[in-house]
This record gives sequence, C-alpha cells and structure tokens, in this order.
Amino acid sequence: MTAELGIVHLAAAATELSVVVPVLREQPGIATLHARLRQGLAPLGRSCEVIYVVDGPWRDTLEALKALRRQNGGIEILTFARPMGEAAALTVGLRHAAGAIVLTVPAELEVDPAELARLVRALEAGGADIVTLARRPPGRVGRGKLERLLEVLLQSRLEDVRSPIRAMRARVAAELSLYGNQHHFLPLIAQAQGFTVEELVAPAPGRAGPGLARAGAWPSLVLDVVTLYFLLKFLKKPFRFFGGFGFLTLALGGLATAWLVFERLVLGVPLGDRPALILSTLMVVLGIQIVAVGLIGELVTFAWAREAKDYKVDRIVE
Amino acid sequence: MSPDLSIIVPLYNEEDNVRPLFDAIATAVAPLPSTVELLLVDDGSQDATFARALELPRDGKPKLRLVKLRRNYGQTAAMAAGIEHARGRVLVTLDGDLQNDPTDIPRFLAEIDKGFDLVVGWRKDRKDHWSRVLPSKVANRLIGWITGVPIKDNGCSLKAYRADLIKAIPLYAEMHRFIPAMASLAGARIAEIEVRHHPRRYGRSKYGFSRIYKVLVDLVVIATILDFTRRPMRWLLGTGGLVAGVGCLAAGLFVLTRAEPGVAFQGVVMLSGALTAFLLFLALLSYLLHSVRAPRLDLFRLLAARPADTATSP
Repeated sequence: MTAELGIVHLAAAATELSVVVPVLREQPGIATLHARLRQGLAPLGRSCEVIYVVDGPWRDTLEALKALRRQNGGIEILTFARPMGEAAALTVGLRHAAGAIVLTVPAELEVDPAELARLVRALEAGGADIVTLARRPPGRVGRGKLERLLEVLLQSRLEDVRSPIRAMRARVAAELSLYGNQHHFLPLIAQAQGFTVEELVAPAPGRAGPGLARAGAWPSLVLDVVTLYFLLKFLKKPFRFFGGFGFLTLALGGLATAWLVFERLVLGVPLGDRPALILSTLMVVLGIQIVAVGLIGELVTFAWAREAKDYKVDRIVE
Repeated sequence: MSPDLSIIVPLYNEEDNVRPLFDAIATAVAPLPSTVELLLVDDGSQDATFARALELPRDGKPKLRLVKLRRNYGQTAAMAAGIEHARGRVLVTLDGDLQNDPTDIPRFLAEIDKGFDLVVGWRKDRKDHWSRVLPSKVANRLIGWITGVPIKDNGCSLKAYRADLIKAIPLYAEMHRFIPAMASLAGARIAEIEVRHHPRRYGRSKYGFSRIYKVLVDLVVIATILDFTRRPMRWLLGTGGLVAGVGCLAAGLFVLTRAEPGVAFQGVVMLSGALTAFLLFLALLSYLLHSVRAPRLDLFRLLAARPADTATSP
C-alpha cells in the first residue's frame, strides 16, 4: 500500500495501531491532546504511532509537536507548506499509517479519550471495516437535517455522518482517496467502495467543529451533498442524470413551441412578437445542450471503462 | 493450464439454487471432452449463497473458482468480474436462478466452433409472467432497430463468447443488455439459437418496472457510442446541422415573405445559431476524446479483422 509511494517505514512491522490527526490551524493544546490520546489508548496495550499532519505553516504547533517528538517515541509529523485542506491531510495521513488499525482523530478532541479504545475494540469484535463514533450532544434527539437528507438521497442510516472520529482497517486506509470536502462523508464514500460501516454512539458537547459552526458553511455543505449524490449515483452512468433533465426540458420546450405554432396557424394569434416563443425555443435549445453534455460524459465513461472498474473483488477461492 | 471453457454464473441471494445449479452444470459438462472451469461470482449476497458455494467440491469437473465481490454491484458488474477472472478460451454465461438449462451449453460450443464470436440464447418459449415478457419484447425490437443488431432476446443471460473478444468489450453500468450491440463494435459474428427456459424454482425475480426508463436512456447512450467509435464527430454534427437548417429556414422564411420580423422571431434565429455553435464545439471535444483514446478503440478494429479462410459469414 505505502510501498508504491516510495515511503519506507522503519518500524512498520511493530506498529499495531496508527492514529491520524489532521492539524488544520494553530493548536495551543496539542501537547494535552497527545497526552489524552496516549491515556485513552493505553488500556489496549498496543504498539501505537501517532501521525500529525500539519496542514499549513502553523509554526507554534509544529514546534510544540517537535518538542513532543523529542520526548516521546511513536510520533510522525507531516507538514504542508500551505493549507491543502482536511481531505488532503487525512488522505496523506492514512497513506502513511502503518498499523493494522487506523484511527482518525480531530485536533480538538471533544469526547472522552476512553471512547477511542472502545472504538478499536468494536472494530475488532465486529465484521465491519469502519466504525465511526457518532457524537450525541446532551438533550439531542434523533438525527440532524443533513443526516435525514442523506438518508433520502443515499439511503444512509448513519446518525452522525460527519464525525471525524473513526477507526478503520488498514485496507480501507490504503484505498481511500479524498478530495474537496469529501472527508465529511468518508463513511458513505467507503460504503460505495464496498466497505461495511458501523456506528458507535458517544456523548459529546456538540457536533459541529469550529469550521462548521459558521452559518455561512451551510450552503457549501448542501452543495457538497449534491456533488456527493451525483458522484456516488451517476459516476458510471451520467446520462441517467443528464438525460432525465435534458429530455424533460426538451419535451416541455417542444410542447410549448408546438402549442404556439398551433395558435398562430389555427387560431391566428400573431407569433412574431411573443416572448413566450423565445422561452419555448430556449427550452428546446437548453434541452439539447444538456443531452449533448450528458452524452459526452457517457463517451468519457465508455472510453475509460476498462481502466476504472465498477466492482471490487473481496476474495477468490479456487 | 488454462481450461478450454469457462462457465460464468453471477449469484445474488441464490442460496437454494447454488447446489442444484452446480449439479445441473456438472451433469451437462461431464460428457464434454474439453477442460471446464466454473466461476461462481457472488455479487454481495446477504444470505448464505457464498457459504453454500464454499461447500461445493472444488477439484472435480468442472473445476470450481469462487469470486466474491465486496458488496452488491449488480448483474453487469458481476458478469464483468467473472469475465475478467475467467481463463478459458471460450466463455459461457448463464443466470444463477436455474431458468437457463445448462444442457444447452454443448450446442453453444458447436456454434463457436463454426466460427461465431458470440452465440446468443433465445428463450422462444419464456416461462415468465406476461408483464415481464411483453416489455422485454418491445425493448428487444427497439434495441435491434436502434443498434442495428437485430437480436430477438437481448435479456437471455445464456450466451457463449470467444474470450479475447468479450474481454475487450467494456461492460459497465447496466450494459449487459447490450452485449451483442457492444460486440458489434468489434465486428462480432453473432449467432442466435433457441434455448430451453424453466420457470423459477426458488427465490424471486429481481427486476422491476423502472427498467423501462433505464433501457430507453441506455439505448440513446449505446447508439451514440456505436456512432462515436466509427465516426467520432458525426453524431453531434448531425444534430448541429439540423438545428442550423431550422435556423436558416426560419430566417429565409421572413426574407421571402418580406414580413416585418418580430423580436421574438429574431430571437429564435439567434438561439438556433448559438446552439449550432455549441454543438460544433462539443463535436470538436468528442473528436479530441476519440483521438486521446485511439489506441484503446483500435482494439475493436483489430479484433474485427480475421484471416479470410477462417471466417464464416453468418
């Protein structure tokens, strides 16, 4: 998995558990976080590495991490010179992880660290490839709007899709490649790749991280959901999506135009100056454009179909 | 050593059918002189299908290989997985629900030996409810008409293929219905023979009425793909020309009639001009796409060419 990236792990064989922590901004409490991680995972008694991916020039945090590394073993620090985003940080961290089980933990850990050990045990006990920790704020009942939307669109049954606290098997970590805002939907993307996902519930003060508490984050989140829906449902059959919209627009435009021509020819209503004619023609034009774009998408799919397989084989027995 | 024949069966929640299916196939291939492997592809079944398949004898005739997919991907993907992992010179696919009869397989092989690349089963006497048979008949007519490959029964899973040909054909989304049309890309010589068809014994059918929309939309796609591989720009230029024609016609109309051209009327002419330009650019894009993938698409032509003395004319 990591060998193809040319990365050599000196202590690879010894690591049982990897923890990936994306650091997205200056974290004054990073030393405390590390201590809490150690304390939470200690009851498992596993050899453990913690990979900090510092996403940007966060000098103070970086210095603090280097100081930590001098005092403790099992710390790996990766840095991006400029911010590449949480998805990139996570993906890089997962690729570097050498453990048979990989945990992802946010730099602002708001749950009891003991929950991490529970998460690892649940992953080992069950048959799932990923176990996520659903954060349940006090007094909260049921799922949020986002989760309900995702259930309608993608039949997701998760209570807290965006939970940044997850445990996964090495084969998942090796395969996931996230970009944009896909880290919010990691379990759903993994599911689409054929991995099984389970959820554990833990009490937490809140769900939204600092980045999502802003009111302005909602429109972009909705856009992300739409993109995800499109990606997961229509990746290999774009025309099912474009064709539906295109033919609908085309048919409506065609009917409207036909009605206008009928009015002109049979009822004698003057046509040349009616804005309705522009609208109906525009719909025909738009319909043809959407259909044509969808078909181009299908040609791309067809031309590359051999390389991008639809299916993942679990195992072969002979 | 690679076997002469690979039989590929996609299975999805067919726990009761696994054993009878295996027995039926084993009986059918026992008299054949060739070496046979059987690939059972478990398409993410939630029942005991895979466990039952593991209990089957693995080293007799046919030699068994089990391919387990990670989750349920659908029939096309399961078939594609089977085809990818099959090692035989000739491949046979059939359904896992025992509606096809494995005793038909030798007749398929005979057709392949005659020089056909693809042999398609035709369930002349289908044992299904009319609500499944009727839409499928209409769909087959439509598929034959649009793709130019008149197959009476595209939905029959019992088919035999020359392995190198089918392995070159991209199978994705729900393209298994269009295998003969796709195979025609590679100039396949296609034979069609009648097969026996049995009513379902265990389990239930996994199709619904939503297929109609999907088949119609997929037909547009397949027609475009077939046209694109031969003449990369024509499918868009044709539409573009048509739109340009309508625009010119409208413009000519009011030049001829010397009528006072209304604003809306001028708008229509300009819109059709804009659409023509759009389609032209898109046609160039699709030409680009074709040339980027030319080596890959060349494969179809290479497969289509055959030494004259070995080729049969169907």
